[in-house]
Amino acid sequence: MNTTLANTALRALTAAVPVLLLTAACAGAPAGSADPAGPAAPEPTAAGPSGVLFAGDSIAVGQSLPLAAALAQTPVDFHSIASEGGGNVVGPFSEENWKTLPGEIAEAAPDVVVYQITTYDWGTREEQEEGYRRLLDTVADAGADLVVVTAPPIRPDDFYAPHMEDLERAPLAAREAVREAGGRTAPVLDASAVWGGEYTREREGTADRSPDGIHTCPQGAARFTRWLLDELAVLYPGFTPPEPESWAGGDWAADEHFAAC
Amino acid sequence: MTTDPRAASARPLPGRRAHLPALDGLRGAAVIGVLLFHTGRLDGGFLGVDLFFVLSGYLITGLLLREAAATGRVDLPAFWGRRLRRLLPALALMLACVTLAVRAVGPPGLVRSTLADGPWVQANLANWHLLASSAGYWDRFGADRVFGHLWSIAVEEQFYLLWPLLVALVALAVGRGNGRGDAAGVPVAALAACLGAASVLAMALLADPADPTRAYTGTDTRAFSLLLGALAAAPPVRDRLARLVERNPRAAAAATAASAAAIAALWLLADGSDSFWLYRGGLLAHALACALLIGLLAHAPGGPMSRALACAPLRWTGGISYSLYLWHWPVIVLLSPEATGLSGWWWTAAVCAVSVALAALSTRLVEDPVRYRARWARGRGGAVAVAAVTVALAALWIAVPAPEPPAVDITALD
Repeated sequence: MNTTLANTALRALTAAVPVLLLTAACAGAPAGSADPAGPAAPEPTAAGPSGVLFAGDSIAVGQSLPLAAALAQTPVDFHSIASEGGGNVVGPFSEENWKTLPGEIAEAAPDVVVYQITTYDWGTREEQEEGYRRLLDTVADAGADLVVVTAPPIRPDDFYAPHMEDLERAPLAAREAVREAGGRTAPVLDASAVWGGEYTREREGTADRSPDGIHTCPQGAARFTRWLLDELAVLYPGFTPPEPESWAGGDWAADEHFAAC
Repeated sequence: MTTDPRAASARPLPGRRAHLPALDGLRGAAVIGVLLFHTGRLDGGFLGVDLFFVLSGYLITGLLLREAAATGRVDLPAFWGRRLRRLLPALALMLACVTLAVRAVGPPGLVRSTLADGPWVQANLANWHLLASSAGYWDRFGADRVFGHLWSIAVEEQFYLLWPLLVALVALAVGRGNGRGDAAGVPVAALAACLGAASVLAMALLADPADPTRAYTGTDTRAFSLLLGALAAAPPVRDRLARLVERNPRAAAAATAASAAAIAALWLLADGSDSFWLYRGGLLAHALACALLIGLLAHAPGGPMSRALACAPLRWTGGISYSLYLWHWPVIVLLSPEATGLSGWWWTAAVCAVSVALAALSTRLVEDPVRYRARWARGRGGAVAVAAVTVALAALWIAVPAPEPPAVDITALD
C-alpha cells in the first residue's frame, strides 16, 4: 500500500511541477541513422541521450513504469507524458492535446522523444500523415529526435472495432510522413518483435497482456522495455541499457495500472 | 451523503424547524435512482447524487442560518462534531468490513485499489485521489473499485468543512455590524449565488468532451448543486417561496409539479454521466429544479407532492439512505454477476436486497445509536472516539497485507 500511495503521490507531483532535465549532452543531435523500420533513420551516434521523453496513451502509461525504473539506473533523465484516454496526435480530441504537447516537449527539453502510436490515432491516411508530420516538426523544433514505436496489437471491443482499419494503417502513415520529411531523422520501430501480430494474453505461461485486450501486464511491459532500450542502444551506441536484474524486479509491477493482471 | 436535522445535536438547536417527511422521501428517491443506475436499470439514476447534493446544501444551510439568527454566531466545533457523529460511524464500519472482505475474497488488483483508496476516503479526499488515479478511464475496462462511489461523500465532506466556516464568518461580520444575527441571510444568499456562479463557470471551463470525469467529480465543479440548495434555504429565496405557497397555492403546486416533472424527465433522458450536454447546462438545470422542488416542499408539507414523497416506503428508504449509499456499490462489485452466477433482474434484486439489509443493520445498530443515544459520543468522549476510529482505520490500511505484485520473469524478457 505504501508503494502504491507513493506512486500516486509521485504521479501527482510529476504532473504538478515543472520537469527538470539534464542539459542536452548531444547538442547537434545525431545526424543520420540506421532505421530498423523506416526509410529515414538517424545514423548511430556515439553519444547517448541525456533525456528521453515518452509519449502515448494508457498503454504507454503502463510501459512508462518499467522504463522509468530501468532508466533510473542510467544517467538518462526519463519523463513520461503518456496519458490515459488520450495522448494522440491525430484523431478524437487530438487538437486538445496539441494545445499542450509543444509546451510539454519544450519544457522537458529531451534529446529523444519516443512516441508510441496510440489506440486513438484514428483518421484518414492523410489526417494521420498530417498528425505525424506535425509531431516531427514539433520535436525537431525542440531540437530532439523523434522515435515512433508501433502500438501493441489489441483485441478490439465495441469501442475500438470501428477504428481498427485506421489503427492498422497508422504505422504506414507514420513511415510516409517520415519519408516526406526528407532527411529528417525519425525511425519507426516495429514493436511486433515484442508483441507478435496479434493480442496474446500469455507468453510462456506468464500473463503478458491485460485481460481487457488493450493494456499490458508487468511481464509485457518489461519485455517492451528491454526491447526498446536495446533499440535505443542501436540508435545511440553511447547508451548502454541497464541489466534487467537491476530494474525488472522493482515495485513498479505493483502499480494499479496492472491491477487487472 | 444525507443530512438530517433530527440528528444534529444532543441539545436542541436554536430555532429548529419542523421535520419534513417529504425530504426523507426525496432522499429515498435519490438513493433508489443511484441503485438503479449502478445496476444498469436507469441510465439517468446517477442524478440522484445531484439531488443529494442539493438536499445537503439546503438542510445544512438552514441549520446554520437558524443558529446564526438565534445566537448571532455559528458554533463551528459543535457543527463539525454533529457532522462527524452523523457520518463517521457508518463510514468507518463500511470501510473496515469491506476492506477485510475484499482482502478475503477479492482478486489481487481489487485488494490493491482498495488499500490505495481507503486512506483517501478516510481523509475525505477520495474524489481528488480518484481523479489523480484516472479511475474514470479505467472504469471502462471493468476496473471497479469498491470505494469508487465515495467521491460524492468526499465532495460533501469538503463542503461541510468550508461552507459553515464562510457562513460563520458572515454571521460574525454582520452580527458585529448591527447586532442582528438573522441579518446574515442576505449576505449568505449573495455568497452562495456568487460561489455557485463560479462553480458553474468552472464546470464549463473544465468539462472535457473526451473525459468529463474532472468536471463530474471535482468539488469546485459540483459545488453549485450544494450552493443552490444553500440559496434555497437562505431567507431571500426561502421567504419568497413561502409567500408564493401562502398567497398563490395553485401556482406553487404547479411549480412543484413542474420541477418534479423536470427532474423525472432528466432522469429518464440522461444516458450516463458522460453525456456532454450535462456539462453544458444539464446538471445546472437539474440542480435548479431540485432546489426549487425542495424549497417548495418545505413550505407545503400538506401538498400532494409532499404527501406522495412522504409515503412510508420512500421515507423508510430515505432513513437508511446514507448507509445504503455506502454499502450498495461494494456489494455490487463483490457480488457481480460473474461471482454470483445471477443475471438480469435476479441479480439486480439480489444485490439490492443485500445492500438494503446491510444498510438497515448499519442504520439501526451503528448510525442511529450514535446519533441519538450515545452520550459517550459527545464532547470530549466524542473527540476521543473520533481519534480512536482514525487511528484504527490507519492501522487497518497498514496491517492488511497487500498482495505480492505480479512477478516478472527476467529469463523471459528477450
